Amino acid sequence: MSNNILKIIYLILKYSLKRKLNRIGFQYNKKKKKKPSKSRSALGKKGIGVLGGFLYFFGALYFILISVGLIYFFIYQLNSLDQIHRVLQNNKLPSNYSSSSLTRYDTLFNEKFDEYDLMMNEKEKTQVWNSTKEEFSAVIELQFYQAAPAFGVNIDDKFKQYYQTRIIPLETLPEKSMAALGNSQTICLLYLICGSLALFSLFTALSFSVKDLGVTDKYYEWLASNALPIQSLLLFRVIENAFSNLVNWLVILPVLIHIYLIFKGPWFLPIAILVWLIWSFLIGAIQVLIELYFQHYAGLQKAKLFQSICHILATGVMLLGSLANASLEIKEMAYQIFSPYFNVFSWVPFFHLPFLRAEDPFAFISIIILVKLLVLSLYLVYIFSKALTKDGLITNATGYLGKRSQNTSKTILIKGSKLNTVISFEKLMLFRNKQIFITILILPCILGTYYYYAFSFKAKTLIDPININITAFVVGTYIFLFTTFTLVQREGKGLWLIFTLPIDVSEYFFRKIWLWAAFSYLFFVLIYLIYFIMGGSFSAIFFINFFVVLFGIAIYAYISTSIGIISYDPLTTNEAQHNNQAFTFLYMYLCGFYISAIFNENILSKFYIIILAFTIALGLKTKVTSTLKYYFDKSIVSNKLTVFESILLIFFYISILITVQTISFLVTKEQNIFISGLISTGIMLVILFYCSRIFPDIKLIGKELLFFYRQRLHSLQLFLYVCVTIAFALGYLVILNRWNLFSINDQKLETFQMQYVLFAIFVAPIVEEILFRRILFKTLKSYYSITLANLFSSLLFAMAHPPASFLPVFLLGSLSASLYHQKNQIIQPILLHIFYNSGVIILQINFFN
Amino acid sequence: MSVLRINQLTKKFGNFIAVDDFNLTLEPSQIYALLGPNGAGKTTTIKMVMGLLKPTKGQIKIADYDISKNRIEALQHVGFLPDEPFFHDYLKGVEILQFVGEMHNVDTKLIQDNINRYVKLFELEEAIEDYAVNYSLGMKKRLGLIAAIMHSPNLLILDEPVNGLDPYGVKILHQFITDYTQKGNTVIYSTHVLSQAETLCNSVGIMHKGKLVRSSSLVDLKNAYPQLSTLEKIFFEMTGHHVE
Repeated sequence: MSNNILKIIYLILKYSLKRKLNRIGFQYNKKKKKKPSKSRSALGKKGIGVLGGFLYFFGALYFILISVGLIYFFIYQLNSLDQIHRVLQNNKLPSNYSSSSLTRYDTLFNEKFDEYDLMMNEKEKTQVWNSTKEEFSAVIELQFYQAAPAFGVNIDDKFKQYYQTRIIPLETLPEKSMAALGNSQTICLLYLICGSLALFSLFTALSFSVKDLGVTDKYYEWLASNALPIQSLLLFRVIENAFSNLVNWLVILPVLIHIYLIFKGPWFLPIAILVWLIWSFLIGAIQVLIELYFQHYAGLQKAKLFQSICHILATGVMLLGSLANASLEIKEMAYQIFSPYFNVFSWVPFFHLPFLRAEDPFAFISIIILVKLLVLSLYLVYIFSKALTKDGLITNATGYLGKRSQNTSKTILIKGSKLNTVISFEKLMLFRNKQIFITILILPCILGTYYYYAFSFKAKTLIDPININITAFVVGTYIFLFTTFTLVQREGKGLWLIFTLPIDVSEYFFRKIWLWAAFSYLFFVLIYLIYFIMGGSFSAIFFINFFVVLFGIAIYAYISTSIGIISYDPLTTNEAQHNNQAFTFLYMYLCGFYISAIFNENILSKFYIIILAFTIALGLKTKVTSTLKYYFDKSIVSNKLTVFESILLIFFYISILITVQTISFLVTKEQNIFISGLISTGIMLVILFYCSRIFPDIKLIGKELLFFYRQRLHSLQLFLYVCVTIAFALGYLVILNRWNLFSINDQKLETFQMQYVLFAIFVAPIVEEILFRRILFKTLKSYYSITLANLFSSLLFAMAHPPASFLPVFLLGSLSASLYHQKNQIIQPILLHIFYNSGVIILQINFFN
Repeated sequence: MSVLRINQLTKKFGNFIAVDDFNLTLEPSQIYALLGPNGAGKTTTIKMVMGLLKPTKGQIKIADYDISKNRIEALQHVGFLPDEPFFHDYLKGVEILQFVGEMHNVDTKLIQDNINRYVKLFELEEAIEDYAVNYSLGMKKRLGLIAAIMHSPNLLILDEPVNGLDPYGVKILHQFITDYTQKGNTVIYSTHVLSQAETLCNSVGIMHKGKLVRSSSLVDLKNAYPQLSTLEKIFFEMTGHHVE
């Protein structure tokens, strides 16, 4: 029996993993399986009782763990404060302290103190102070900053005074410690982190999928046929959910990294993992419970409504959870590393805006009140919408399933051309679909309110030319996520009808954008109206960003529609069809990319990003046309690489590079561009290898890299390369020098780093040439003319480099592209690029050293 | 100009050959019954004709427009009723008909006339103001049929039209098909009810395992097998099962 159970558990996990991978877009099986239609399962009432038991058990276990963790943490904090006090009193730590971690600080303190004493001038003293800050862990430093006010010490005082001051008598230590504890930013953050964990779990719990109701895949039939008791069936279901929750919870990885950086205690990691496991199970159990309830009592219609309300709730909660945010440390680190051109993480709430001030405990309380208000208002919205439906003000067609409706509304006679027809019918369906109405009216308001509070907590205001534009853009693209993204999905089962009409199907869908873009622009107007009323300034910055957002919303309307169409599978018979989840994240990623155009102060960068977004929209549009051509044919797998995918690969590389750089900075506290470049290139090549299994175009890259395969490199050619590159580089430096366009910061000449040289010579050429020439240029060539392909790929290439070197990089790109077109071997442009880079570096050394 | 011309149509799903070398030419005023056992490839063929599936090989021309190259022009000349018609969630029956008519560029007045005429003909008057999600299968089929003929196409393709219709509906359908083809239009439909096919149609095509084993007029077919009195028996003969 136990063998059987193990086997079952193994199969469940394997199946669950496959389904998860499938959901995020990794096709483990080329044939698209047709999922069987749902049928009601017989678990029902009995199951709810059994499950309740599981819930209690897991819930209790979790709360015990969290309490233990909190208590431990308090003790740890108290210990540290005690230690700080002693240092302040005596200038040295007493030698009979038993705690092992304190000995390290003991030695360090004393060493540093001696060093400090030896320094003669201010500059060197500051240096010692700075190096001390680096050596101490973040905990101690943070605690010093926090504890100091409680002890009446001004934190701007110098090092020596801290450690020599005898300010507080020993008797008042408990009070002061408690005050310090209460003000401690870390304590607040712990509360908030636990709070956001709780909120997140709410999010995952409530986001159960309606299609899981009574799902009968072959695997469930097999499970049921094994005559297992109901408890086992439910347990397996919970295990499956827990497993997929485990994976979902990777999304809170930034929070975990943050906790680790602050505390670095040995107990942190095992507790965190245990909490993670238990939460996943807990949530898995809650999900199954909700499923069973809807199966047995409420039915599909109510489940759908519940799901959309939960979605709204979960979104609001997730946004609020991000108010309990990253510490100053992480934020500063992030801003340091992320290049202003590609601020791709700006969409992720964790790296975004607010954090608490240590001196302001009221902020914490106001957040709690805000959460309560939000939950209450959402509940009110739900009640209100229910009331509306009863009165028949908004007709609900799905509510009528199985019943005949009263003929209350008169038939509408539609007039006009085809374009108007499309929009008129879309409007008709909009006003009858209560769910989507609520979503597109309520959600943006929540989002806007969030941004209002988020900005004010950071002591910046919403009424600021940049912030208001960001809000407008985010609200607009958020609306698209629920409207244009799900255009095909909302056609529902009537999709076949569209394909029998003598129309261009992609035009049909793109035509609908007009209606939905109107909603985005409606909120657009509302937001700017608020800005105007609250007295925002209409400066140049405002108007420039205003136009960026104006174009952005139009472009992203197309992008969201296209991605929605591409990611939808029309052959699945599930009631509630999900778009492939990976594409939702892709869309959010692309939105984040555009937001960096608003953040960025450089107008040229803004312009670049708009052009890039526009290109993506165009590339996507062509992909949509080819996807829609044989939308229902499951045997057609398009293997041709499109422009959109080529640009996407470039994005991936840049994101990977930034991520690896960040991680290496976190680990080594240094910029390691060569190593990170090397690792990112490696990762990129692995990704390309896997892509080559889908896209045969990419397969031949390996062969092209070995130039001996086709043709030997003549010495004349080599000589030509060297001459060209030297001439090029010389010309470049002369021109720039002459016209004083040379910006030293761009070229990092002050501290000439070996890392940078190695990167520029060995890493950058390879991956840049592969991405821009071998993939992008070649793809463009197959769709458009050679000149256009050349110009465009070189333009993109130049845009990915600092603006000062635009022209030479553009010319290099163009030359590489022509060379590649002639020779058809990627190694040739790579060599050219290596020579060019070397030439530039050699000349830089000579000129400026 | 022939109404429908199919040449060497083949469809493979991986290694499985769903349709193998299907050839057909339809002339005006023909009522063509496409017969075959389950899984013979009838629906696949019909979907390829409508441009929903991509043929592995072969060519399809509706009114001399190639469906893969001039899809929009080709679709103007054909009306289609699938085996399980579903409609948009939030539209009423009459609105769906208006929508289809509009998208086919039919004149507004003509749309209204057609709606009135066909709703009366197919006995949908009570249900037409209701939301399409509430219809039973038979009513959906009737609605789908009206939507297919809204633009008065030369060619009607019906996939198992009688499946789900009550006897009244079947009678109306047959009468309608007869009248429609007398005006010079063509109807091709697939069915399993051989007795009805025998009385209604004038040409027959029998598919078996993806191949069109026999395609001719009904009269010719009967003459070729004088010893087999009904279409049913001929069908069994052609598709390889012998039933006592």
